[in-house]
Amino acid sequence: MTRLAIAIDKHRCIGCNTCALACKMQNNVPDGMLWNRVLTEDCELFDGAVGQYPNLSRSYLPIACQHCENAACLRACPTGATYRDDKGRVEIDYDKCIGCRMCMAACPYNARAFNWNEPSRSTGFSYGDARVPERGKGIMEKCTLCKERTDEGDEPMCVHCCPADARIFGDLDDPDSEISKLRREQTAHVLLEDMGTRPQVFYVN
Amino acid sequence: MTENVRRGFLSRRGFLKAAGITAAAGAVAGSMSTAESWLAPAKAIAQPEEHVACTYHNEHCLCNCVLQCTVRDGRLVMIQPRPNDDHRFQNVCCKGISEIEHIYGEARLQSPLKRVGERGSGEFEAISWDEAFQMIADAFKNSQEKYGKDSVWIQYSTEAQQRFTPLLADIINSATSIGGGHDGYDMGQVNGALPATFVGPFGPNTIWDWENANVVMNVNCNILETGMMWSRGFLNAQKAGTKIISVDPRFSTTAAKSDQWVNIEPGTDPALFLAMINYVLENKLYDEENLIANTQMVFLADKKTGAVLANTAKALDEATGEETEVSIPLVWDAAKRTASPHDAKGVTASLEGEFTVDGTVYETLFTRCKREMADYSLEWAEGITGIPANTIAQLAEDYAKGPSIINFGVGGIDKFYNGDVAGHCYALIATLTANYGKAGTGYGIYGYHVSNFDPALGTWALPKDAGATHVSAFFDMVHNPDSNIHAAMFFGDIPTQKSANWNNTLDWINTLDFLCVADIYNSSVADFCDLVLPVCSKFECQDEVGGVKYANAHVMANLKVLDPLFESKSDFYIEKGIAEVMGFGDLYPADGVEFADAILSTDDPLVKGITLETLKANNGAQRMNGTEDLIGGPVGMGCHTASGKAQPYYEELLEFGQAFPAWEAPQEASADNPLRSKYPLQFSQSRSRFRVHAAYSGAKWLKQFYEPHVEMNPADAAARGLADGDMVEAFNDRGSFKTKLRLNGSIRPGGAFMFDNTYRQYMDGTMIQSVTNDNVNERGRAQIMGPQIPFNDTLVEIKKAGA
Repeated sequence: MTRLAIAIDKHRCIGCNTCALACKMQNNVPDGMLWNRVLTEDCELFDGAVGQYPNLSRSYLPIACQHCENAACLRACPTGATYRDDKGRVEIDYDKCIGCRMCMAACPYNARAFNWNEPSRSTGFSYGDARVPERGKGIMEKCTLCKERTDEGDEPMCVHCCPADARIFGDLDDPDSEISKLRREQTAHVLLEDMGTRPQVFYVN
Repeated sequence: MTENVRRGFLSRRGFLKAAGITAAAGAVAGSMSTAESWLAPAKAIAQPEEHVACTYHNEHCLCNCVLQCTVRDGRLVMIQPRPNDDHRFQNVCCKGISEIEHIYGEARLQSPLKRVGERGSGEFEAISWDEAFQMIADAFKNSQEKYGKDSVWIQYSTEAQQRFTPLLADIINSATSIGGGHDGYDMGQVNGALPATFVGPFGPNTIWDWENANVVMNVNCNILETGMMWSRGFLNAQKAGTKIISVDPRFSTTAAKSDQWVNIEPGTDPALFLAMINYVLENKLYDEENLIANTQMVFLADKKTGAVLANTAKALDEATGEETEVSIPLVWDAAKRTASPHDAKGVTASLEGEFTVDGTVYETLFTRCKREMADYSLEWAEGITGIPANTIAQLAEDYAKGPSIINFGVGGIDKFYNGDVAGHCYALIATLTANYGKAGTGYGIYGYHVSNFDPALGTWALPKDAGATHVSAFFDMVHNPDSNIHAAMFFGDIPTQKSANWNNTLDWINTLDFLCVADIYNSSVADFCDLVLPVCSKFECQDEVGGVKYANAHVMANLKVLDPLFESKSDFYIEKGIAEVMGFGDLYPADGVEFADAILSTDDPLVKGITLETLKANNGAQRMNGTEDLIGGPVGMGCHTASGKAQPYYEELLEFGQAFPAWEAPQEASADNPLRSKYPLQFSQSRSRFRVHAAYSGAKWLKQFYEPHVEMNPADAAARGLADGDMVEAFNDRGSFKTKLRLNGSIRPGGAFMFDNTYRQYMDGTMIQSVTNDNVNERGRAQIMGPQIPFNDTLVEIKKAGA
């Protein structure tokens, strides 16, 4: 079996948002939407801090689809548009999506983005990988783990572009992979573990 | 677990709030086409034309990323890092990727524009390039005939350049900035640090050496934002066990990722280091053996005047071959009990003591140093810097133990009146503790210098009488009432970036007969120019190559990714077009290929075999020969000073009381300045990961993450009745600017902070340079890099806009 995933080293994440734009570019994500975002944890303001000066802390939390083994979105989807594929990725069959947004409500990570209107791009043209399918009004979309790239053995664009080497891609079912070794580290953790979604994306400190 | 997740399933509100289209100010932008209407519609063909090309990105963030760009149907659709066997140089950042939208975006200048309204009105009309070139040529010729050749000022900046060496100022013998660090900014600490060894200033080694250090003191350098590509050097050193200590008033990203954050009162860095130096001296943490063998600290100085005792000798000047007199400092030879030349065979120099020579009392510089530093106690420094005395002691202990590095940037204290004193302190404490010359030691701007290799590339030959009149830094021209400048041209927005106190700059602009700016984007100065010219982005070339340079142990080519967008031209062709009308066109290379070939024509073995053809075959970049080891061996304790030894005593600064560094308060933002009763907030600006100064202000993809705003500590805002999101006005006697207020606990109470500069159309027509301090420290004229603008040595008050 294969379970493709991404590990994120939170200490190495410098909050640069390169991953967010790499994803937007690769996947032709329209204006006003991002599949991958970087939050400043527990702060409304990006680059804010927790605490009172000078007793402060700050950490960044890059977040996208967590590719859960027990995905809440998948269970909520009435048409089977959301599915888990043979590489362990949670994907959307756009042709089957009816825009009901049940998955969006179900996802505890707020990882999904919906095309409320016809997508618009301030560039005036589509960008990104030509293999990525177009999505129109009324269609749900999210991180595909760069399906078009990872199908060919390449790493996702967010991993490829990260300037701090904070993102590690690999197969959790390969015990010798770097990501599997990281998964066994003491600080490895998933978001909202108590929700029982069993995310494959995980974080190390 | 993060609260963002728990509370609201990750707030979607902010995420969906798309960056709105902000109309650029004035008719410049109003007359623009959109990228959509300008570009030919994509053809509905089964197989879109797609190709990949590589180029290098901005110089000014100093990372020198080489980008692999995908072009589909003539449009830039993908930007990735160019693959590189050395992963450290396979780089792109958010700014690089944002170019997908940015180069077509709302702020892009599209055609030559001639001002038709009053200066600042923003009323322009589009004209042809031929008309524009004629207009410039006429203005330059008229000015030079009437007022002399140096009445024309031409200045360049990296934003609007593609890296072919500019030639026009040399060809028409115009005035220009002195260059080489004499531009009046960024070099305050270098003024103080460099003369001790003349090794550097960009670090005697590279950031990859940080792994060999026990401690890196990262002083006023937010390297994880301003030079993201060096984050690997920073993070890998931490992983290897290096303790990184960041000194910064603001809890920056770099401070947050450091092993220790030392929060400091802005502008007081010299006090911290002076106390550390005194602690090192009092606790004998210095390296006595090295001080005697390899430093100037054993030289004798007149106790009364401070003049170094020296013999004179005849020597041959290596440069001219002519006989000259040199000074040979004397030391006290303990064995012979007499003053002897420091380099005399068998001399046993005393490190400490007072000695009488010919009736005059002399002391060793070490003794003098101890005497002068004695008042800088830990408690004194705590009172000035706000850093607890025991923390200062710990920093001195950590640093002295070594091997230690001091990395400084070009912000923070560098943009204070007393920035040179901080740099001088780095040199002195490194000398005392022998934290230089060896692996894992040194002090300098490491976030610039990531390889030790500097090949001598070729140049385009000009006639012997070519050469610019080097006048001064730009700010000096603005402040000189006798300035002879009557016509000026800037490549990039120099006037709002390289001069403080905008109203003074505007007064100078209003004295000119002609002002032209060539820029990629509608930057702040455009509305005040007579002529505005659109420059190509780094992705566009008229020829197959738009520039060649070296960086990061590679030779890089700016290969064509796109044809020039809209009506833009490269800086090279703009210069060439002006020169042709002025009758000098034949002095230019025929095209970019000829220029690139000239640059690559060199015998330097580092670049042997690298040609434009091989660069094209290697996707725009090639590793230079023999550059595998980026750390290199220790540079040794020898220095490029007159004595060959470390010389942290600057005799030429005796008249300023700064031969050894001495405490000097900030000029405006000092604690006891009475002006604080009126303007209590110290205003800092620094660079962000989302900008290179003002560049990228119009990039919509980046505006998703960051819009211009001033930040204050919540306590300071509350005291003024200000709330997060309020539109506010920051002001002082020099002027004011308006922007949004955001509250951030990262800001030191008593301060106001803004990521530096943006185009005025995004700040309600105002500019942050309206408030900044333009009183330079005249001591700088006796220093190697000249006076520096104290942008951050500025006090303001902030109130609700309109109140």
